[in-house]
Amino acid sequence: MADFNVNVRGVGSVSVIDVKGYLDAHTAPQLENAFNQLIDGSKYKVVVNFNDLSYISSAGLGVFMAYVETMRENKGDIKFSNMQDGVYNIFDLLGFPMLYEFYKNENEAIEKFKESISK
Amino acid sequence: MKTKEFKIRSDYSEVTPVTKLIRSFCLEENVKVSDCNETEICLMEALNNVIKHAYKGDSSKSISIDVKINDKELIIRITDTGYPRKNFGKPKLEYDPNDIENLPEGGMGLYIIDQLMDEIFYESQNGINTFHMKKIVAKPASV
Repeated sequence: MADFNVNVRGVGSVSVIDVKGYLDAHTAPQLENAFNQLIDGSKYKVVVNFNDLSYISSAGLGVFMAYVETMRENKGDIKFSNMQDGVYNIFDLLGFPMLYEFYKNENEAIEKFKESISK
Repeated sequence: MKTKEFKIRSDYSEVTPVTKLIRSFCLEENVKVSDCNETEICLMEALNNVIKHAYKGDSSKSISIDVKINDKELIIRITDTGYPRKNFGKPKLEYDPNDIENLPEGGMGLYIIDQLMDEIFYESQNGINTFHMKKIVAKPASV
């Protein structure tokens, strides 16, 4: 069985989703559940930390496509951080850098949300 | 030419383990790591497509995967007996990044495969669907 873990933690008004292992068609529903719980809790500012993610398939990418509209409609966003090169290459292949913000580390992404609040 | 055959059930949980096995086979045959990685990605996408589109999520069916490696090419043939795919044309991925209401949530797998492989071909005959993928690989010259 593919190993995948998703963990959600709060950092101030921002929710950080840590993803670990293989995110594919088999494991993507776990990530969908995490997003659904955030939406149920009216939490729309999300940073996804990819530090421990080894692999992502198009089914995993589709999850971010599915939820970004809801987040932005509610003055939030999905931002990405700590991505390994191999994973980033897949995002890049599909033009995701035009759609999402990528940060080297989680704190930069969280700070970006704070900047948008203070404006 | 080195050949290996694999068979899995049409269950998403079986996709990652077999793609890891095939990646190991490619590495054993001295295929460059980046080519092995890209092949693993394409295999994952192609097998997920079979389960989703050919078998409509029915996990009781089977999928065969034949892998052939020679000095220049890596050839993969994936065979299933599910519903044949229609409109298997050149995949496109066009979207307006400013129009997030209409972002694609699917159709990205075949696009990825087309980008990473050098040749892809699909055929369906007598109830058997076959998807061919070919990648020109870099291997160190034999000593």
